[in-house]
Amino acid sequence: MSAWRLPAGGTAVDRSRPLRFSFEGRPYQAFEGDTLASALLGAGVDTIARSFKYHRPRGIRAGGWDDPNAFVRLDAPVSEANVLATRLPLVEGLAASAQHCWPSLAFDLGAWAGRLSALLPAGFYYKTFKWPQRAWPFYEHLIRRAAGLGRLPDPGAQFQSSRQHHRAEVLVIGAGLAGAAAALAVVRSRRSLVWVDDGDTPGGRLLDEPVAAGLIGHQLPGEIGAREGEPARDWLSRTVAEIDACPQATRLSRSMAFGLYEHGEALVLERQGLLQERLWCLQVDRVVLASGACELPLLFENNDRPGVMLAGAVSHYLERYGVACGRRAVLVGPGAAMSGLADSLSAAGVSVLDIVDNTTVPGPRQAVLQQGGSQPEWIRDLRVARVLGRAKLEAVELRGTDSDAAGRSRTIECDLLAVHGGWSPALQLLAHAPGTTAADGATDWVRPAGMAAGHLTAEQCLRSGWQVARGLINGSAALHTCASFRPVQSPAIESAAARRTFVDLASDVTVFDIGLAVREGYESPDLLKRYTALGMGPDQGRSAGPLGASLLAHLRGLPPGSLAATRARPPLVPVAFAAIAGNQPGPLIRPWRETPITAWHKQAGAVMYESGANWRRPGYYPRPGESMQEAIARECRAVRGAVGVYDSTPLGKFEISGSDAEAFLERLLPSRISALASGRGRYALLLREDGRLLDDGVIVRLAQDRFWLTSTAGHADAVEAWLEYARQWLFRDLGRVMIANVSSQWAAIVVCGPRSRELIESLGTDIALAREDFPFMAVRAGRVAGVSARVFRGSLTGGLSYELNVRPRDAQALWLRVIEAGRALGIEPVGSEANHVLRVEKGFISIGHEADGIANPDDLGLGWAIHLDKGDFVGRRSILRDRAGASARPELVGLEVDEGPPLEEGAQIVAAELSLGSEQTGEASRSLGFVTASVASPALGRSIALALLEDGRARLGQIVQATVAVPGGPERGHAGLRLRRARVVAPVFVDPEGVRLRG
Amino acid sequence: MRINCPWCGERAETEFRSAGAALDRPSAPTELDGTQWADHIYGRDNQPGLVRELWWHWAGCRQWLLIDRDSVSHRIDRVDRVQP
Repeated sequence: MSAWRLPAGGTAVDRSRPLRFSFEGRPYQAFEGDTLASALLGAGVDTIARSFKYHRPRGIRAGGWDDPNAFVRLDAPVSEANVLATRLPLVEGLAASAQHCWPSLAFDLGAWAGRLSALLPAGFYYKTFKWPQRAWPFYEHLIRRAAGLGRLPDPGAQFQSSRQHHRAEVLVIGAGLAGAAAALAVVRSRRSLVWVDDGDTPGGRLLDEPVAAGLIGHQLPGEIGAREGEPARDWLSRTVAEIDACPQATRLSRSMAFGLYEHGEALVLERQGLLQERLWCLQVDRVVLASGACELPLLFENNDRPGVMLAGAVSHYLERYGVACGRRAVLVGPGAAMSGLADSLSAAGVSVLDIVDNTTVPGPRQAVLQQGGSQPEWIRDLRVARVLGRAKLEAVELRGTDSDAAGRSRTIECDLLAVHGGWSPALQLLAHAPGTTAADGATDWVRPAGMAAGHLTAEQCLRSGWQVARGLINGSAALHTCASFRPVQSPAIESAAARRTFVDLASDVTVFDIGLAVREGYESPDLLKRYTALGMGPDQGRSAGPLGASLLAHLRGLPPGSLAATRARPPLVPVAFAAIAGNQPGPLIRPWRETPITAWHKQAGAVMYESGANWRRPGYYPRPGESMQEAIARECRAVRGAVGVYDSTPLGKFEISGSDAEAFLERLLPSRISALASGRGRYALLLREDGRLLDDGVIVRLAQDRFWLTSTAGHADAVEAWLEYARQWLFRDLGRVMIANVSSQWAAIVVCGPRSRELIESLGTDIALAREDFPFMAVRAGRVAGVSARVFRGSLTGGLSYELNVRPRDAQALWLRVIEAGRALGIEPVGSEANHVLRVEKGFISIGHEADGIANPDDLGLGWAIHLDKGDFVGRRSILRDRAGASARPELVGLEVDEGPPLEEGAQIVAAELSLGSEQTGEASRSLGFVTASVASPALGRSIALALLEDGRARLGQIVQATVAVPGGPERGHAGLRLRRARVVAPVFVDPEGVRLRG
Repeated sequence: MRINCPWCGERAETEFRSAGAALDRPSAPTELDGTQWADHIYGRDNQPGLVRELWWHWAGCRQWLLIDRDSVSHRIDRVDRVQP
């Protein structure tokens, strides 16, 4: 192919504004209005890419989203990979290069894969690269390098995106003739309209036709306003002007509707610039899908060579950009369509040699004007068998059809082969809308029109668009859409030609691969897709899908049209994540929750951790020059020896009140609530119906009909949902229960440690703090440091501990008072890391570590919190089932190691007798449990851990082994395991009697 | 998907959370045998077509709603309040 730029012509280009660009380092010239593809064709570049698997040279084949290979790497003005050249508007100084080839596009070593194509059919990786097994990481490395298209650019390009919401009654997708007629019908019916078009200007396929193409006015309804014989473009521009003048109509250009969702939601991506996009979230009642049709290619040997193009694309580049795609053309397709193209080409100076028409429908043969040459020859009894030429099209070989003498053949030298294999309606969006498939027509609210509904002539499309829109608005029944299926002609599967006859050019799937799939039993289009990767390329199988499905039907002996392509799913075209993020970049997409004291934590140098439910909490407070372990040890020593303070505000807090509140809680919690006196609390387990822990916390009785329930910070939202579910549904017979989520209404500061009582006394309080007056698990209300507070004496760290609940507006001042008063006592602010160490020392469970959704309360040593001598409660039936069962349970135990760093959390526990490398299998090498939490304990000077171990309580005092991962390189992860010995002990390491807790 | 909340009007699906099939809690769980109980906790019919579900309008009125939804087309037939 030697495409060339015509001296004049091209409706989309402005020849007075030339642009310079470069491809693969070579400079070229084009015009404003060109796409990169039309500019490359105008400059005579035939090969622009190498194919995915076999690295065959590929050129530009189509004019829009259906080009499977025209993906280039953009180097300037921005850096981006996998940009589709046919949809990239050219700008001054644009630089692009080819992907997926090395060392260069012209000489690609990857082409050796093509020579090995017999060894690399579809699914080859299911059959090869499996042996020896040790070599798999090496194979994986190679395959990963060979796979994929393009290399990601360095980050740094600024992507600008925004989001717009809009509501309208009717959405019309597509601005071809059908779309324009539909939009006109909507506007004339006085409905609000959103009209979405992918092109720069309205027109769709009309813009690929010669300018003077006229309309047969008398075939159309009078209201459309088409005058007899007037050029279609004139009617279109009049109609667009009328619609634009209507205030209720919104017209979007350069916008692609890429997804349709239930209840009238549509997503549209508007391209405003090279890296600037706007996402439209539309809410509509009805959709007219005038999205056109995709042109199908033909199947013959070497049908992927540069120089083989779709007939519509040849016309597209000719009319819009003034680019002729060759000098000596052969056209293949139905006579009526091809003679129009032959007219245009010869008027442009392209020599049309032959028109190969082997359709069964005889078409009109019109006189063709030639620029000083001979008429093209009409060939009816031969079909295209193969393309000759190594790097590009040089000649085409025609052979007789089977019914004829098979020996007849002809070779024609040419540089452009324009093929037309039929139209496939672009109904992917119809498949997005749930409840239907593309094959069975329209849903209630989405209807295809125009070429998408199977119509082919301009008059049919106009009438279809008008009638479908009117029908949708009036609510009349859907029109029956016509679909045409042509029988597929292909070379015999077993022939050598089949290996070079491409069905999907994006994934290099050939006719042979499809035959292979059928032979191996992958007979449905879905299985075919997954086995051969047909339709999985960036073009989403726009042409390959229908072609593959009809070829599959043909191979299986089914009637043509009986198999449909696989279902399309959103997005229809690639959408950048940045476009979806819209105007919520960075922290805006996920705002952090803060407490009134967060500013102090940050100022004190705390390392802030993500802590679940969008909270950020201090992990530890390092002093200058201190390591993380040193800081944690210092904080722990303060809590055990002096006094510590931490910010407990993120915890969930709920007030449950009403005369039925106690009955409600009796049914919800496993503990006996009736025995709870006013001013007292107890540890509460929130169980799920299967007896596992949803969350844990404390239930406090404030008054006869008022309770206070706390939960963990990370689960507060889930607990609220659960409480409301129980109140409004499960136990809705209890009428008088009120639940208020007061998590944000209370800030909580916990003062803990042996000197905590002393500290609170020094702040000044009217609450009696002596042990007899204020026992463990009690709650008192009063004033602390002049601020109204509800004080609860619970403990998450295992010593004397007071939780000061105050109003958020008082929290920061109180915190500062506590810090100041504690200075003389040796106070330290405590972060979540130190809290973790302290609770492991005490054997307190943590939701997510020990309570993993599988261990039940008995396993965790919390059976005492379950009272069976009361009525039914959530989870009771499952607890009874577990207790009656005989199988070994994973039980909470402690592990001690004599020396060395802590065990790994998640390490597996195995028997002491097992040694790695031995041939033990089965029972001896089975995992007995795993480590749930592991820390270095400053109080004990040793590493300790908590673990869930099978029959753990029976193994106290025994030795077990825990796995340790041996680190490997960055590519390989871990390179093996070794084992470390540990002793099983009771799961409490500090103050087992709880003396300090109750002091 | 849009859900027509009886209190708040038509709202986007993202304001709601689904709790699955609207099953009542058995009145006497201890009288069920192990298989029946496991079926109540874990077993769900997964039929295409109309299902009766519980949804929670967490970003609005925070009320639980009973919704009849077609599990194939997501068409919503009825949205009811939960009556005691």
